[in-house]
Amino acid sequence: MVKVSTVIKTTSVIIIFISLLLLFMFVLGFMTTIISVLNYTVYRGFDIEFDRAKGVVKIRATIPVKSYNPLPIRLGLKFEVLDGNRVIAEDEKEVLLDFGEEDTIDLQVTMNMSSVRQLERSKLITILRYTMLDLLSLTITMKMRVMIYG
Amino acid sequence: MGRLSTIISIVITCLLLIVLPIAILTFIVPTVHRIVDLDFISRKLFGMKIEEIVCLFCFLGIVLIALQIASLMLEERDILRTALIITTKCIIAFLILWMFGLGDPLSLGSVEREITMGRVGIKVSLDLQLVVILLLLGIIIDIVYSVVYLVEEKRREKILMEKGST
Repeated sequence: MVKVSTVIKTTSVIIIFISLLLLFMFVLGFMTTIISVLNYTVYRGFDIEFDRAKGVVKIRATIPVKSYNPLPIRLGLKFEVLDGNRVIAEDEKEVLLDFGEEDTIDLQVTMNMSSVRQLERSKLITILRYTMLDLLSLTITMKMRVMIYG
Repeated sequence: MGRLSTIISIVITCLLLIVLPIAILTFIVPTVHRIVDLDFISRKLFGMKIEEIVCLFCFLGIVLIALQIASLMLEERDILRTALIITTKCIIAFLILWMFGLGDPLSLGSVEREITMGRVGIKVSLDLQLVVILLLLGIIIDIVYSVVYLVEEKRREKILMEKGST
C-alpha cells in the first residue's frame, strides 16, 4: 500500500517542478524583452518625415525583435507621443513569435503640421509587453523624453 | 535519505544565499557600477541598497543553515526536528515572496516599478502570481508532508513498542 506521506511528497515535488519550469520560461521571455528593449535603444533615432504637400508630420520607429522562448510569445509595442499627459498620437502593434523567430515592428504616427509646435515639447513613450500562454505577463514602459527638432 | 537531502540542501543554501551574493557584490557590482548607478536602481526596485540586500541574503542563509544543521542532529521522530523543518520552509516561503514581490512580500509577485534616469524612464510591470502561488502551494504541501511523516513515524514507533511489550 502506498503511504500517505509518499503521495503528499510526490504532489509537492510535482507542483514545485511545474512552478520552476514556468519561472524558467518567464526568464527566457524576460530575456527576449530585454534584448528587444536594448535593440530599440540602439535604433533610438526616430525617422521624422515632413510632408508639406499634405500638411502632415510622420514619425516612424522600427524595432527589431527576436524570441528566445521555447513557447510562442506575444510581443506588443505601443508608441505614444505625449504633450504633458495628453496623447497627441499613438500606434500599437502586436506580433506572435515562435522560438528563434525574428521580426520587426514598424510603428508610425501621423500628425498635422499644426502639432509641430506641440511636438517640440512633447515626449515619446514606448510600451513593450509580452504574454506567455496568457498566464505570465510582463510590461516594460520606456519613457523617452526626446527633443524633436523640425 | 532524509539526512543526505538535508546535507545537499545545506550546500545549495550556502552557495545560493551566501557565496553567490558575496561573489556578485565583489566581482560584478563594481564593474557594472561604472556604467549605471546600481544603488539608485536597487533602491527604486527593492527599496534597499545592494549591500543591504546581500546582508539580508547572508543573514537568512546563515539562519537556514543553522536550522538545517540543528535538524540533522535530532532524531527523525523528534517533534522539535519537524518544528525546525517547518520554520526553514516558512523562511524559504518568505524569501520567495520577497524576491518575486521585489521587496514587497504582500504583493504576491504582482509588482510595478518605475525608474527614471535623466531623459529615459523605464516602468516595469511583472505579473508572476501564478508562479508564486504554485511555489507557495508546493511549500505548504511539503510542510503537510513533514507533519504526516512525523505522525506516521510516531504511529510506527507505538506499534513497535506494543509488539515489544506483548
